[in-house]
Amino acid sequence: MGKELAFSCGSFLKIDPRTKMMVFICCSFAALKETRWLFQGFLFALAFLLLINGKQYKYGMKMLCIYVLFLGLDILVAGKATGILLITVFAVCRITRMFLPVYMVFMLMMKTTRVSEFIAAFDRMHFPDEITIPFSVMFRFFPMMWEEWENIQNAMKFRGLSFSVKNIFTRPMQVYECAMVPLLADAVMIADELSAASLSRGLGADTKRTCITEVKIGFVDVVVMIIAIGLNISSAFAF
Amino acid sequence: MKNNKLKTRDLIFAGVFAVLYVAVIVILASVTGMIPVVYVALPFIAGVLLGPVYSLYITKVPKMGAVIILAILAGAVMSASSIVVLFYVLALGIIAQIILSLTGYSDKGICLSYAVFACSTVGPFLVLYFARDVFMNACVQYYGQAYVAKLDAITPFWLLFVQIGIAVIGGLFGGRIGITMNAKHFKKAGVA
Repeated sequence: MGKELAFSCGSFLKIDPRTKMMVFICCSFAALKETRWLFQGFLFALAFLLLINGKQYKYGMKMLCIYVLFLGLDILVAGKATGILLITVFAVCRITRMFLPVYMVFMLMMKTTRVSEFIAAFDRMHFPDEITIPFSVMFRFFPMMWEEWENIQNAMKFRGLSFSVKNIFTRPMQVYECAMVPLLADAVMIADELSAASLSRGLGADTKRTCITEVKIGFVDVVVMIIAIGLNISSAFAF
Repeated sequence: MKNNKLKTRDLIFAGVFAVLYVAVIVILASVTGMIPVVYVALPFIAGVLLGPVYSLYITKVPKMGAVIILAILAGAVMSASSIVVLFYVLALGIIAQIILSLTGYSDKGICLSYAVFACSTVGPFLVLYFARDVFMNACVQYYGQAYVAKLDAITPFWLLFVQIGIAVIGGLFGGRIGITMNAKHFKKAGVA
């Protein structure tokens, strides 16, 4: 996970953070409502093209393979699903396939958007700081938390208290305490570090901030947004 | 509490704790989602587990509006099924904030306000009660017919009140654990 999240910049067509956010929202709504294969395919194609546009070839290809594999499994297994095991396999395949586009757009946002761009875009929409700052922090902190969590799990294993089903049932309070306390302590420490860093970037100042990256909604953004919203509307009328 | 306005530092804390809060809910939901009976008890489990997150957050940012921001962030993520959930969670956040302000951020106040806020995890279930067909249709897609039949059988309307009830109990319990943890670990370590 850590390697995948390495930041890469540059894309063929510049896409505004607001557009990515819009596509993300549209995708998650459509993923919940849309049931027809064709439209799910369209959603996936949109997310895939955006990934390729952001020069995330390797990641995009990986997702394409997973998608095709699960679609194939779904077609082959769907009719014959009878046993409990088969049904579970089937459910996992479907859920993964339905939410793959959402996940892909999310990763696209994480990988190809700088926090400063993100804040500038929110600012342009006249969101108050009270919303902008926590949201951008959330955005950045998700991958960090994952790393911390892996470290904590290792430390727990070291003490013979691995995060396993058996331990959760036999010693729930101990597992809970040993996982929660370091996690919270880490969170507080990271928050302190982030606030020190943001102070040095002038986030605490009362004046209006400027951003060196141009944040503007262009022709491409309008097209992508129309496609995303169009997919959503078409799924809304399907029922 | 001399300066009651939220500063950048407080907002960053809100973001970090919201991530913890949301991550635990999402992981719990996807793990318990497979078994209907456990899934329905999610508000209780989440209430107990998230107590320490909430109480440490309140101890770190004892300011007006802190809970409301957490409510907005958590609500925005949970409202994937319906936008109504966001307003529901926001309303709970405002009530929790009022309780906190009235009790002056005492241990009891934190516990009580968390018992209210813990009801937010009932939010995603609201669709199950008020827009049953939509919810069931979606579930057929995910888990298949057998799962839906079972879920339908074990969730009559009155279960909504049971869920809120267990959320409150879980919240009181979790808040208690959180306060104990604060005193036992974080105050000593200088974190809280």
